[in-house]
Amino acid sequence: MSKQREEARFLRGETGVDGAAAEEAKDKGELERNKAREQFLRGKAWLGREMLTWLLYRSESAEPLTTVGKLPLSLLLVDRLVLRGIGGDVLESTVRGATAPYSPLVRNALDRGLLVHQARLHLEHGERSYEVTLDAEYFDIKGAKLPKPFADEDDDKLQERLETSEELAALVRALIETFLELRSSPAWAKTEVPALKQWMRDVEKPRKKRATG
Amino acid sequence: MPIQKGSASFSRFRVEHDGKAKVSKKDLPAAIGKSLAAHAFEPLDRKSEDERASGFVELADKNGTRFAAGDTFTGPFAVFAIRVDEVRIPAAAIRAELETWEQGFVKENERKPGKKEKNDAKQEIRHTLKSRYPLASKLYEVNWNLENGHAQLWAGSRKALDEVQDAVEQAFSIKLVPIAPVTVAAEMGIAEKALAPTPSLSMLEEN
Repeated sequence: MSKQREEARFLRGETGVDGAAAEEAKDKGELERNKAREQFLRGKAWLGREMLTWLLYRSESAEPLTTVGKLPLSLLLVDRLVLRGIGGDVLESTVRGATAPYSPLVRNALDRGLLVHQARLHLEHGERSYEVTLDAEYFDIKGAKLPKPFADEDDDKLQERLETSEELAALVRALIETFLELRSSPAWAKTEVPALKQWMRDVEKPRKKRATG
Repeated sequence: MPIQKGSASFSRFRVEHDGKAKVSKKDLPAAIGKSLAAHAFEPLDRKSEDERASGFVELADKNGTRFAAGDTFTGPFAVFAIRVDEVRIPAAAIRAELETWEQGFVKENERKPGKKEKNDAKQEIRHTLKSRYPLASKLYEVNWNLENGHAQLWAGSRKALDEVQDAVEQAFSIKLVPIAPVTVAAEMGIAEKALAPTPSLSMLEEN
């Protein structure tokens, strides 16, 4: 390759000073995007990401999301939020802080194509409250805070804890069902997604937030 | 133990019984007790080649393998644990011993050892080192609600969870279906086509 051509490639940013660095950097970016895409598709993780993103949007108002056993179920996203995307410059972003999930920064990132991949939920069901971390791919219950058992005896305590763990799992399932019912209805594309997109862009007018606890 | 106190981390599954091995609800506790006993934990023999042992133990006693009804059932739940004992020999320790052996071999035979000789020496070194390193013991708890047909596996990491899931499925001839949006959608009868990504949310059309 002539010196002039080498220089032209360098000026176009196709090569670095060593003649190969720019190409390697491009390959790394492509690899990262491919990996992000694979994570998005694996086990239909996008479904979980859309659900967690929708929960963030819907939980900002004080309204319960559904009822379970005739009692209202409401929630807030708290503390830590992991966002993931499949394109662009930012493929993953983590925010921390008591009200960080509802910050304009997060809404902006969502508007640019990132979705919530992992979130910590504070659930209120009747007089009971729970906290749990969920991730979009597996929906495993992680680091959950369960209501304290009332029982004194060890055996009774164990049974009560198992029952409360099942109650929490049932609440998570109820949220999944509520989301899926909406997502599989014509209202999802017609009204819910446009409203969700509008909310992402509407960063100047945050809605009234509830306090946890 | 996380199943009893502290923060709770578990995965929830719907239990599907294998058609051939299906047991009536009434006989399920006895069948569970039998399967637990058949796959009970047996301590690792430090003199054997094995570096790992795993099997079922009672929830309240990591050495208990009697699985009496009073220890295995509480209310609608069957409760037990999987114990995994492992000797972890650091790779660096094996490498160091192998290098010393190789130097001695060259000195004695005036040639480098062959591949087979090296592999045999490595096995011998592993076996010798095994007694020098302590056993690492882990417990993963399981609760299975016999009334609603759901099980919860209490393991923090995905790798451990996969291992526990395999062990439970094999021991009881069951399939554990995870509870996640995709499996709930199937249960609700939502068509696969309706589950496609929402393009405007993930910017899929731009990628």
